[in-house]
Amino acid sequence: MRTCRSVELFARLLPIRAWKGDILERHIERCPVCRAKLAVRAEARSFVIEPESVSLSDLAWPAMEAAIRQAPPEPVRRRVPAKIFWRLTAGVAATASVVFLVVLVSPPTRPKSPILPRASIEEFRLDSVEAMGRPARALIFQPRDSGITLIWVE
Amino acid sequence: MNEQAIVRRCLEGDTESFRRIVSDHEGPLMAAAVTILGNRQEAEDLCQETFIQAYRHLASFDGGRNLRAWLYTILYRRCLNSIRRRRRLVGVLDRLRAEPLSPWVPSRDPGPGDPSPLPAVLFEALNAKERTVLSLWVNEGFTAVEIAAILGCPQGTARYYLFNIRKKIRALAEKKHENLPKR
Repeated sequence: MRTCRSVELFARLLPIRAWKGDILERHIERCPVCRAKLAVRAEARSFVIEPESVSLSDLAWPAMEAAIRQAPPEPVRRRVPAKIFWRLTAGVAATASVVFLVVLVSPPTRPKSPILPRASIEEFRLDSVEAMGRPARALIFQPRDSGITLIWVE
Repeated sequence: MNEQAIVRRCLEGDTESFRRIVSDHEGPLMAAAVTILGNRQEAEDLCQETFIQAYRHLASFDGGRNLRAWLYTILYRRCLNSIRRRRRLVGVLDRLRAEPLSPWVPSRDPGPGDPSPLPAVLFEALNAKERTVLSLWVNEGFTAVEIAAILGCPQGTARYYLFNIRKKIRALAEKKHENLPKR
């Protein structure tokens, strides 16, 4: 009994109706005490109007007929359903936000070295090296993506 | 003739087929509208509008769906719009008058040929959405899944409405039983 009350209280505290419904339904399926507290269809019958007791008045059909003769069925318009439209819109907005953030956060690209254009480096050639009038050994290296060529002579 | 064939004939311009649709569904739709609105005249107007709207948009009706459920969807939206309009009107009139108007309650005097009126406590205990769910559950035997499709809400929400309604109806029924004259 206490458990039943706590389940109902917990369900009522939840912010989303769908969650409340799912929790209560699951509980009712297993709890005959709570199930017995709910009205059955036969009991509720006296609280609704029964279809057999009502109908449209005799004047309704002529009025409806006149209206539908004036406006025949419209052809189907291929419209994107509202749900899909909003999902697509949200998707595009999310992607745009991510791209914008990536651009904003990413570090600025370093300007290219103004010393030598890559084309002239590729044409670089060393025929002979001398140091203090004597032939020397040369070491050439180029740090990756630096645009700089270093020559070490020994 | 099955429902799809009748719909197809309506789309070809056969108004007699549409008359058949009206006569097949007018009772359940009127019953739901009166239960939601509590007023026969307004219910009849909205039912007529529902049928006319359904006829105009019949081409968009999905043949795999239940035609009555589709009609209920249109009717339910129209009823809610009507109640909102009425509430706005009451609000405006309240502001214009020094004394506030009492909240709207359905007419309790049945007109000629009217069904027996619904108990006024029903309108105090259940809101329009709940009365719609009640009517669909009792008269059509619809499940929470089918009711959710008509109301355009999650299935859990329809289950929550059903739980509340069944609880309130049990309380109302017990109260009614207590009030019966004792011998």
